[in-house]
Order: sequence, then structure tokens, then C-alpha cells
Amino acid sequence: MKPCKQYEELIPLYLVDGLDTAGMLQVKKHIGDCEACRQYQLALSEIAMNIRADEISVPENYGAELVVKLNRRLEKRHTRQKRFLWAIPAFSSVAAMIVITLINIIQPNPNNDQWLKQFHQEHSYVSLSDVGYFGEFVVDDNGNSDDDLITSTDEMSESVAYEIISESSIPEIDRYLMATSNLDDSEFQSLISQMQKDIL
Amino acid sequence: MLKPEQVRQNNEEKFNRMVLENHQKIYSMFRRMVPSHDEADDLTQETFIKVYKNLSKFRNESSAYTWIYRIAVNTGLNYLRRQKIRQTVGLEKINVPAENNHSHSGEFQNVYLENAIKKLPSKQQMVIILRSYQGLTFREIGKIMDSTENAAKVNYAHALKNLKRIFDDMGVSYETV
Repeated sequence: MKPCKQYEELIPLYLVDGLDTAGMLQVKKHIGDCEACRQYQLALSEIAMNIRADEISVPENYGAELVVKLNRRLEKRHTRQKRFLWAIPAFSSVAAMIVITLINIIQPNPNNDQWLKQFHQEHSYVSLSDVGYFGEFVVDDNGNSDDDLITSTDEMSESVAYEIISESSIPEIDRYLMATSNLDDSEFQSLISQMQKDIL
Repeated sequence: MLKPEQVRQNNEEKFNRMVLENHQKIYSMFRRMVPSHDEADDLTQETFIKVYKNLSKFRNESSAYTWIYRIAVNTGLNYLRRQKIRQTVGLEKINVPAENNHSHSGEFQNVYLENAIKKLPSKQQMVIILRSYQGLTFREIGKIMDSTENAAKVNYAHALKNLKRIFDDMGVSYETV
């Protein structure tokens, strides 16, 4: 037996007290008069009652086991978070270095070039590795470094010697010893001759 | 001012207390939805992990019980929706008993009931579980499901009507004389 169509929706709501007072009275009266709707209401009531019938039993000690499991999971999570926090500065530094390197490779800073040019203008470095000696020469204020560059080893040794000798802050005897330490006999003789000429 | 480690320790104590006080209700709710203890256990753990993550957001405005239930219900609804999708694409089937003897009582009837409930839309299924199995009032269900008492009643009424239809389709009669 099918319930009346208009009451099929209302009867379930009547069962849960989900209608206003007038609606509740209307359905109650109809159920008293209509056998099909009364059967429908009883079937729904029985379904609702049967759902309540059985209980679920929670396993013994489940609460304590659950707490242990959850705490283990949270501890793992906490350890992961700690590691992650430690990793942030390391990753950031590496990333920053990579980014800076890439920027310099892709787009060299023009200021860096400028600084280098200026440095080269003020200082000229000449290698004397063949005689085991390195010397640094400061170019004069006019910046004519190219003209003054020393190209031969002999010229270099001689210039170094003169530079040392003319350095007044070093005691005279030391100046001569330092200036002549790299010269062989003939070079030494030549230097003395030159100095005598200059003095005379 | 508490140090982070002290805050963490306080949170853990508070959390453990919440688990011990509420695990039975949450577990039994999930046990109604899933066929095995392991699955119910997984969902219970998932719920309490979410509770821990959101512990700082809990302001004691509602009771801890309602708040935890709300998280559990959302976890449960997501699970039911996933199951529905799996059933729709044919990955899983609901086991309907082969026997059909129009029984009105006993274990056989419970199996029918459980299978019929699993065929309901997720929200109706949840309201049936909360009302009939968990014994919550419609007002509590409304709060937990972020709706109203009346919405909970309407969902429950629709669920009853749909269950009756499912039983009719199965050929099981609940009509009494």
C-alpha cells in the first residue's frame, strides 16, 4: 500500500517533530483516517527503532593504544618539522649563492669593470718569476702607466734596485744590500758604475 | 610567557586528555561507516591528528566534545564521498546479502539495515549515525554539522523515507499490522 503522495514527505517530518503545530495536527489527524499512511508511519518508526538496536563495542584498551599511536605520529611530525626548520637557513644560503652567481654570469656588473679599470690604471704588476722576484710599481699621478711599463727582466732588476736605494725610510746599508742581492757580479759592477756617474 | 617547548607540552597533555575522553564516541561513529576495525582506527587517528593541528584555534566557545565531533563528521563525510566515488566508478561494491527471506528481526535484518544505510547520500547517512547510533539530539547534530536543528531533522526525515524505499526495492517489508 502506497501512502498518499502529499503525506509521503510530511510523515517522516512528523516523526521527528519537524513540523509546526498546525502541520503536526494535520498529519496526526490524517494518519488516524488513512490506513496506508498509518502503515507507512509505522514502517518508518520501526526502521528508526531498528537502527538503534545494536551497540558497537570499542576494543579493550583502545583509548590507551590510540594515545600511544597518536603521540608516536606527532613525535615523528615534530622531528620532521625541526629538521625542516634547520634546513631553511642552509637552503636559503645555497639558493642565494646560486642566484648571485647566476646574476653575475648572465649580467656582469658594469661597476665592477669600472673599478677594475681604475685599479689597473693606478697599479701595474710585473712578474719577475724567472729571477724569483716580484715587484710592484705605482704609476705616476698623470696615469701614464702604459709608457712606463717595464718589459725586460734586466730593466726590471735595475729599476727595483734604484727604487730600493731611493727609499729613505730604510737604513742606507740595508738599502744597498737589498738592492744588490739579486744581481750577479757584472750587474753589480754596472750598477756601481752607474751610481758613480750619477753622483759625479 | 611560556616557552614554545612548554606550550607544546601543555598542548600534548590537553590533547591526550581529549583523546581519552572522546575516543569511544568517535571510534564507534566511524565503525558504523566502515567494515573493519583498522579502517575505523585510521579515521579516528586522522580525526585526532586534525584536532592536534587545530588545537590553537579551539577557543572554548563551544564544548570540546562538539568541536571534536565536528572535525570527525567532516572527516567521515569526506570518507563517505570517496567511497561513493569508488562505488560509482566500480572500484567497490556494497555487499548485499544473497538471502531474501523478508525477515523482520535478528542479525539478518541488521545486515540489511547497514547495507541500506550505506546507500544513503553522505549527509543523510551521517545524520542517521549521529542520531540513531550516537544518540545525539537534533540540536547537537545541527551544531556539529554547521547547520540548524531543523536542517538536521529534515535530513533525518529524508533518510528514513529513503531507507523505506531501499527496503521496498529489496523486497523487505517493514510494515506492521
